[in-house]
Amino acid sequence: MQVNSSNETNYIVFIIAALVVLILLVGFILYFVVSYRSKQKDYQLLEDQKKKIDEQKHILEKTLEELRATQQQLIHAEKMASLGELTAGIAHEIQNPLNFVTNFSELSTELISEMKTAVEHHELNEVLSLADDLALNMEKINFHGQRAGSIVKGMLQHSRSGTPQKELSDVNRLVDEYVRLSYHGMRAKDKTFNASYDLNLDPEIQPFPIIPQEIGRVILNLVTNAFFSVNEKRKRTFENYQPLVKISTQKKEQEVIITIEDNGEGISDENASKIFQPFFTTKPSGQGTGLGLSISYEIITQGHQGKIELNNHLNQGGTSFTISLPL
Amino acid sequence: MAHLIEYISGSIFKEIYYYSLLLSSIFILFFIKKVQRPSLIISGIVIFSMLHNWIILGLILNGVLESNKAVYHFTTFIEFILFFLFYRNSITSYYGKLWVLAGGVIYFAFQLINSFLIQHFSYYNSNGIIIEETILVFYALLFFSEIRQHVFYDNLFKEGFFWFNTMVLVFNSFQVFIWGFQGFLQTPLWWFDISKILSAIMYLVFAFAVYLDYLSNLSKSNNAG
Repeated sequence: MQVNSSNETNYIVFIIAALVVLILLVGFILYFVVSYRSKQKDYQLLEDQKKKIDEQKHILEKTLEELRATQQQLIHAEKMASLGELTAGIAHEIQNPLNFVTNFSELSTELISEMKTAVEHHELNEVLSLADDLALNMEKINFHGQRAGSIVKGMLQHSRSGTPQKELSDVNRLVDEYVRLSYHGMRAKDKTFNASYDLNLDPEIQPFPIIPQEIGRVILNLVTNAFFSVNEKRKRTFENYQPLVKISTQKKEQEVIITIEDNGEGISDENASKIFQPFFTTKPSGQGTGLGLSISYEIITQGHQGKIELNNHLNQGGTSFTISLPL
Repeated sequence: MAHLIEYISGSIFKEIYYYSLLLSSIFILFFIKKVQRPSLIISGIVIFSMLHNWIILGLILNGVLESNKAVYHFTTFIEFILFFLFYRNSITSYYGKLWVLAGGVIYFAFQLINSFLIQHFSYYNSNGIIIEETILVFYALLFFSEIRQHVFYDNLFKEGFFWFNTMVLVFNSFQVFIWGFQGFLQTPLWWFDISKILSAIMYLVFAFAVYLDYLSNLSKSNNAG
């Protein structure tokens, strides 16, 4: 009787224990399936988001590519626009050497004719003297021809697209050349333009590696802006106002400083913070692309690891830009 | 063969167990050529179980073998190697593989000690089987954790490896429970019949798992084509 009772208890305990194991197993598997599905949903959501992000990334990359292409086109357009501004200055600059070439070649023709007469009269000394003059003329023709050639070369460099390389260049010569181009350009464009400029170039500066056509563009931009500003002020001022643009270069220990200063209208504080932004311009519609200063900023800071700063003299009138180029 | 059939026919539970094993093995043979490596291992487990169960029974009934006690020392060992290979192949994470390896090392070391020093080959390999089943429960839980962590499958119920692992967990958990229970109280005899049915279900599910893998491969190759 006792054995039977013990067996029954044993069975009951066994069945309860087996049921507990069964419930635990079923519970675990159910929990696993439910949590797996929930995680699968999260995972799917994550996958969808990743897919969307990838799509957006692709679109953004494409847009960025298009923007870069547009930027390149704009830079080129800006180059062409400034080239247009330069045309008058260039014409003036080329006209001078061409005049020399024409005059000296005419003079040379006369000298040859005189030489022929001297040869006919067997005046050897006269022939030799005329030959010396002729050689001198030829040298001058060659000099002015090369001068015209270098202006054309500069113009071609200015308009060329692609990645230019740094080369040893004389900054003073570059400043002088582009200031004159700008000045004559302004004069040719606006017959009423009247301003003077003062060049103060440091003779201590030796040629150092820069990208000449790019630095030329920066100088051209800043000087043209300065001339524009003083000319605008002159138009509005009836007092005894002397429009003046001062351009100077200075050698310091590890850098060369180029300063372009004007006594024009100045820039308001509000505008001063925006002037290096692309497409920002205070010039009347159609007279500026708004890219000149932003491209100048890029050329100096990224292309030459230099600095470009604006010092606003609004109270005294005018502004000055300081460019630092590391040696 | 006549002895064998006669012996099996003596109990419905034996019939279910032996014929399920045979049926599962034959079923698997139809698909074995077009399944992944883990499914080949599952096929190996089923076919090996069928062969050793039938052959040993035949040898005992024909008087060639006195008992199956010594044989279980080897068959458990080989069976564990097959399970070990399955989990080693299917678990992909570094730590998961490390745990599988650790389980394997524990089992192999214990089985050798048990076979040579504790139970010897003249006794039934109960210690080896308990350790094997405990480690298989651990492997199954590890694989579930891995499946959940990496969200391996699109549809869990269409995945053969999910069913295989579920069955490994259920069957071995009950087996561990029985062995554990027997340490304290006597397990009712009818439970061993239930255990045979559970075992038969396990092999049928294993065969079903191989079939699901075959279907999955077939649809993949159709999509690729």
